[in-house]
Amino acid sequence: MKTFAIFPMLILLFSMQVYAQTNAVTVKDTALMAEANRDAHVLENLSEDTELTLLKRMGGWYLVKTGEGIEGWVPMLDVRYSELAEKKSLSEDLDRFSADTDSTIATGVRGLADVDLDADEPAESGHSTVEVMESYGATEEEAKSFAEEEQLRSQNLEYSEEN
Amino acid sequence: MMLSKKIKSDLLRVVTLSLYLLLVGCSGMEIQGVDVGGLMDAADAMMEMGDKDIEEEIELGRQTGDLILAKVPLSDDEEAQRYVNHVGRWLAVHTERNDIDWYFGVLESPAINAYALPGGYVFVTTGMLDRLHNEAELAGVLGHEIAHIVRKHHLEALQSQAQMDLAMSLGMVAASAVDDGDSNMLTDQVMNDELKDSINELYKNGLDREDELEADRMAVIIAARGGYDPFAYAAVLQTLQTIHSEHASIAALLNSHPNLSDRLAALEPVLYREDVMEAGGKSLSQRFSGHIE
Repeated sequence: MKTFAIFPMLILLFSMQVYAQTNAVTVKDTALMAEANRDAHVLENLSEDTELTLLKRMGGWYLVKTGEGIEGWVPMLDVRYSELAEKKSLSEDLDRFSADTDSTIATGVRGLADVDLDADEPAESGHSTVEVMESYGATEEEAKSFAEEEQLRSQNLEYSEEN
Repeated sequence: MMLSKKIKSDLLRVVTLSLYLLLVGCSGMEIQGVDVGGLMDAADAMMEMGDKDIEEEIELGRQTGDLILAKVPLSDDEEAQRYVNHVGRWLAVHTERNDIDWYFGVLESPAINAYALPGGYVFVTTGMLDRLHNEAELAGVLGHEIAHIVRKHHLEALQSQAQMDLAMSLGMVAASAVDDGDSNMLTDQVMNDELKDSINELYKNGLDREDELEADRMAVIIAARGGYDPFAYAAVLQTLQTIHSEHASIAALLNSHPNLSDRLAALEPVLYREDVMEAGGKSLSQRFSGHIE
């Protein structure tokens, strides 16, 4: 019986994205809600550029904590991760890229899209082909079994509401 | 004033056809000793690119794939390759192009990016996978690329660009043939070179802004159709916002796509649709981390 009681809780946990003290800032005037629901009680009005700490995401809502320590929910598109996260991320990447001789920063950017497909420079490691890529392909039946392993359920949704 | 793609395409057809007829009208298949038969075949092929049957579209995708793989290798992580193929194929089942075989390749590259090729071929880089937190986010990224293939965005863009290039080539050839008659560049190689250049330019500069925004909206729906959290794709775009825009890992993606703030704002109407919010969906972070190192 205990197993059955815990199972729905696990599903609930897996549907959330937990954030370890991620800093964010509001991109527009918004409201801090008591629940992840547009009809919920408004705890506080937040002006644009308010700094927040993200705690977790549930659907289209972030659970946040304000500078005054008040916790509540804001629509996910009303915030963006702040500069602090950006700098940390950049620093990590700079460390990693410094050991990568095929990459340069900023002025000499060399990403995949900058590779000249017409140039006579072979890939440095190995030789991949579309045939190799195709050998990893999954059939429709294999994909359905894969989805069933995690009880992924198909939904009937149109691309736009007008359809 | 921006011309619609349809009008631009029609205009190019007219220009190309006019030059074609001009050449034919001059002296049949030969202009002052220059055989234009090969060029006319190339013109026919270019003008019909948008109407390619499925075998031709797949072949174009395979050739484009080999062009990319000659420069950037596949990851040797076979488990990751098979996992990404399962997620991608499951999503493709929920689209209007489940009649083709879909293949997904993980590229060994620190660049954060993903690519759609005609005919059902999709690439995602290890740099992109490193930034994702769960299977639903991967589904959003793959859903975006799948949407490009469902809508044949690259095929149409290549057709448009190739017609433009060919029209210019035809113009130069016509002038050259009439003026001095010593041009002998008229072979099928013209088309092959133009096509290769077009592919190169397309993947460097990106698609039209509206094609990208449409693929973003469709990515949300395709992931949700597969039972995934529809908001995970917005979370990916927010994650990418944290990377400095001039950082080497993301510069190429940003150069070939609308800015991330605009893309997120454009997602709002679809994300907050009542049926999308009610769809729920799974994130599957454990399965993701079990297959992607």
